[in-house]
Amino acid sequence: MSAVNRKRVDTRRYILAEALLCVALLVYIIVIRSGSSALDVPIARFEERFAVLESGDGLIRGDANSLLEFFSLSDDMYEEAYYLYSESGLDTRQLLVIKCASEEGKDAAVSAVSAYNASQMKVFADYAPEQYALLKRSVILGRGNYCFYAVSENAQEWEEVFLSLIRKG
Amino acid sequence: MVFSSLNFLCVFLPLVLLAHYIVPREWKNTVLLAGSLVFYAYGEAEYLVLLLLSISINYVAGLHLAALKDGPERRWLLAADVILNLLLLGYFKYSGFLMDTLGIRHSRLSLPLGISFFTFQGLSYIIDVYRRKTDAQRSWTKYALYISMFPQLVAGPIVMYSDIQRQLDRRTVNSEWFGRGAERFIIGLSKKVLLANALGEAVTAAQATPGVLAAWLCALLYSLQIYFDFSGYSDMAIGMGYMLGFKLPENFDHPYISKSITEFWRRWHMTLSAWFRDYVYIPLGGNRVSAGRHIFNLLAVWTLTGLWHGASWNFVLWGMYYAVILVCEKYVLAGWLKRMSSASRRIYTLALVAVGWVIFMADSTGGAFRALGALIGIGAGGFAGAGFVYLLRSCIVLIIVSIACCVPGLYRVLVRGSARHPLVYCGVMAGLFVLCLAALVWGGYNPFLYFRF
Repeated sequence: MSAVNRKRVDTRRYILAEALLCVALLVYIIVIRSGSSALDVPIARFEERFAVLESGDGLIRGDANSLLEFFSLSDDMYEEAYYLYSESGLDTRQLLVIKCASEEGKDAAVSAVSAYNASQMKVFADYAPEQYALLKRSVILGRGNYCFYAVSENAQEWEEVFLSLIRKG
Repeated sequence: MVFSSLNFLCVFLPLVLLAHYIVPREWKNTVLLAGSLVFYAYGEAEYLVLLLLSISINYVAGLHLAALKDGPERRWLLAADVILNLLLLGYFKYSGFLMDTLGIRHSRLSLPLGISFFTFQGLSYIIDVYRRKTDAQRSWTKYALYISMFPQLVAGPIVMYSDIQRQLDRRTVNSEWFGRGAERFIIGLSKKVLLANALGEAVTAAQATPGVLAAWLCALLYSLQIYFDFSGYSDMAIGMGYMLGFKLPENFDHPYISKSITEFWRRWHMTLSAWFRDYVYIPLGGNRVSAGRHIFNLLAVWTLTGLWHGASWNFVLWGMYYAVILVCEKYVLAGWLKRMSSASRRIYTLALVAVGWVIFMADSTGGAFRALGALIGIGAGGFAGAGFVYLLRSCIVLIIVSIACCVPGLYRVLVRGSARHPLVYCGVMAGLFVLCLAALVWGGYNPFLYFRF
């Protein structure tokens, strides 16, 4: 093959590669975009799905004061919230779903929850290894305007329930 | 995983250095690339694909540009690739800002780690290949390593391809470079952990203290914090570069001893200034144009510099603030500055820089104006509000030590000391490292300020 022909083949190959990469980029952006957004679901729906935890797992319902006390989240930082936690100070199991007015609000809630989880890990690191392990495996998620936090052996299952409720499509 | 975290210092870095040293020469790039991708994925796994796609697109575009003869096709290809890179950056970094400005409800994406840095490096590479300033890299691994090398991936310095082109093929990995790198790394780590983190706490305390004096003290503390935070990061990056056989470009040259704002920007974030100079300012005509056009060029470059730092109006304001000062220094203040003493020129520069950081540190334009107002007594809660003396007392030692570390004198002493008493010097470095580890074990999360860019 002559040098000119080889160059032409090379150029065609580059154009093809560039086109394929651009398509891959577009698909990736669509996937990322759809994965990060969320349906507008009222908190009552989460209550319905997680109600069993209140009776079966011995978790109690928290209110705005609990969120302020534990997470430094004042009620003007979110629209609605659903919080379950254990009454025992030695039990770190908890579930929190917060619905914020905006994604900025959700980001602030995720930061507050992350800071709380980090401080709890410090507290439990030395004297309650099993609680420390739970905190280490905790799930903290931000999707759309929602913040989700779960500390439990079943945190992954709770996460699935949360995602199934807010998932689009 | 930030450089000043125990995971990085005690696990990731030793493992990567060890692997890089023991593998044969032809595997070093692959090992380092794998380590860099793990580093990125640890921080933001969902955007690893974005990084790899960006790398691959620019890699193919570089080969394509190199294969084409000069002409319109080549120009169009460059334009298309530049636009694609800017669209990518724009989509992930600025679309939310645009929607907010237009009042459109939207869901915001998190900012991919280091996107401003790897996009700018990719752009500089394809423009240099287009200008035939450099050859296109034929190995994907080497090109991917140039973009994603973990010391400089998320917060710079912005490395030009020509800076490390040779080192990608063949580099020196010996004990002398390792020692030099370790020393630089420890200096950077100490700046971040011992000074910037402590200054950060002082800034938080100063923000909560009312009064004009507290507002100025807050500006001073933040000026010091951001310098030690960012220059500390750059020192660590350069140090790790040495340890791995790369000589990365310098990013800071004692900016707070500058005698004008023009000089300050030659000493602060030097690689970003060089990027804008080479790829925006000079192509626009630089200063070899009419005064009107020159002023436009400066405004354009500095608005873009502001926007590069963040998708928010206060960053635009910050960029334009510097554009106005630089125009004034060029056309109005030049003679006046020459007549001033060195000390007054330094005070003039520091005061303007501190005011600039007040705009920079605000979370919105409203916040920036409120903070600027506090500097002149508007809404400041008095001149020296309650708590100012206590605040000053609690951080005066920190301020004095920080200022001493800002000037070149201390570094000259260190260099002289290392030559005369190498063992003592090694002991000092080891002591600093242990002190940093102790501070990290004791302290909490300590993110770098420049990570958000």
